[in-house]
Amino acid sequence: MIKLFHVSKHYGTKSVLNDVTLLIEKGDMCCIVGPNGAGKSTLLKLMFCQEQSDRGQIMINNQNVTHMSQSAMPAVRQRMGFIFEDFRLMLRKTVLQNIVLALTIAGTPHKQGRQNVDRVLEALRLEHKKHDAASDLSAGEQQRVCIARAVVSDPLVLLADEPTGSLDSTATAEVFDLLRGMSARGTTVVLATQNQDVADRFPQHRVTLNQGRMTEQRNTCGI
Amino acid sequence: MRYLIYCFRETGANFLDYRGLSAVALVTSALSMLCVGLFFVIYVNIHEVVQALENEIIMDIYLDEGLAENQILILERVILLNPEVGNLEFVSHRDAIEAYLERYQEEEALVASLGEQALPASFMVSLAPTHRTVAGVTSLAKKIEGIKGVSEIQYGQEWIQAFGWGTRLLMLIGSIVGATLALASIAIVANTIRLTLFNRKHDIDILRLLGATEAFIRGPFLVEGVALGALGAGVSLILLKIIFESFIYRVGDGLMQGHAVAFLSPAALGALVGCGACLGFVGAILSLRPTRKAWV
Repeated sequence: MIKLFHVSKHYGTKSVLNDVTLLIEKGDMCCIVGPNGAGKSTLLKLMFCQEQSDRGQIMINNQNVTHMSQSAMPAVRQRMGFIFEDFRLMLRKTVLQNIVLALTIAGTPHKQGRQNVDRVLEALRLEHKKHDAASDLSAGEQQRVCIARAVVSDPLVLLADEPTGSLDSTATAEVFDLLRGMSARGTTVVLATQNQDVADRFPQHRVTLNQGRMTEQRNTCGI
Repeated sequence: MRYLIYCFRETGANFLDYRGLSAVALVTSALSMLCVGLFFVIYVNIHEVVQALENEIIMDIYLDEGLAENQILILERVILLNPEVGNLEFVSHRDAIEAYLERYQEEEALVASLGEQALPASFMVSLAPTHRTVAGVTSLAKKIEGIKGVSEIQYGQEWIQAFGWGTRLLMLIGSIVGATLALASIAIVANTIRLTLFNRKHDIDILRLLGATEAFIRGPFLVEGVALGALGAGVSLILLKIIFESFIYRVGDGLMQGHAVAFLSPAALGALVGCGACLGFVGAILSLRPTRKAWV
């Protein structure tokens, strides 16, 4: 479960997020939609402790992560997955090594990890590429590796920043199937996009941001 | 287990990606350890010779002229009371002359002209096993030299002390050179790892985003430091063996007074590799110390 109370963030004098209050239930699939510069990515970064808010409180799985110490951050992040807009892959490593790295960091038992790796490789059609260096992949393939790495350790919370920006329609559909499956198994999924077509796939819980303000929230999940 | 594999894989990748830098660190580390090893080989061999000579130390206690038989007996008992004494043998005037003539037959006429008491009677003392050191023989000499009836004591003190000094001096020079080179080795390993760290900044950022702890991130760099140090020491031992076989062994045998020149024992070889690994570890720790502000 994710809770944000009156969260604000400034970069210098520029206000990026302004008094955002949001509740995302466990297992919910929430889509944050808005144009460029609306504050979607910043909101995800705040949830991921990649940035610190100037005001307000952020709770992730009943833990206040607003001003988290550096030493406490790894434990929080190990329970979260993040699909980065710019992929953030280790380009000299293979697809498999990039994915397994998340399991190594999380300390997932070998047998369970292997099953998870096989599952995500199959779901994202990456089996035939698993020994290729990430640098040799196309943008779409790199995005799928980034998704695989984020979901392989079955995180409690999955944050996705434009997760299908480089994917074709078939791959996009497969990725959303994967995310829905995870949501059904109890993972809280938060997705940020400026693509209205993508946002339309999440009719249950949609949050619209514009110039840092929450202008609309539609939630048919509960609250 | 998976983490260990990760550490070793990362270390290997770092070696390959920055092979020039790693090679320089390896060679410098190897040369440093080679100098330490050379001093060690020389020291160990000289120490062996000193120990062998100490085991063979014989003290000659020359007696005053004209001592009666019972005085000699009393003197013998007094000397035997010292714990440093292992064995004691009386050498009469006659025995001394016979032994002398055995070695220098051409001097027979001269000795005959000096009469029966040409050479003084003496006690030949060998030391107890626990006191066969320069300190042991010096201590015994000090106790005996004041005793009435003893005219002179000889045990080759000049060369024993010179050998002792030489060994200590060699050890001191070896320690200073070794310490200096060890510091250089640490600095080079530290700089190598620091450069690798800067080049890996992108990967380290990703690791942090994936939830890696500082210890997790540092692991491969510590392994790299240890590997650089241990490999450097290993290479230095190979070079040392080559130098030993082609130079020290040949030259040394002639200089070591009949004692065979020996290479380092397996334990000493292991200790040198361990020492190299420790230097590498210290270098890695130093390079990782100012972590967050320096390389986030």
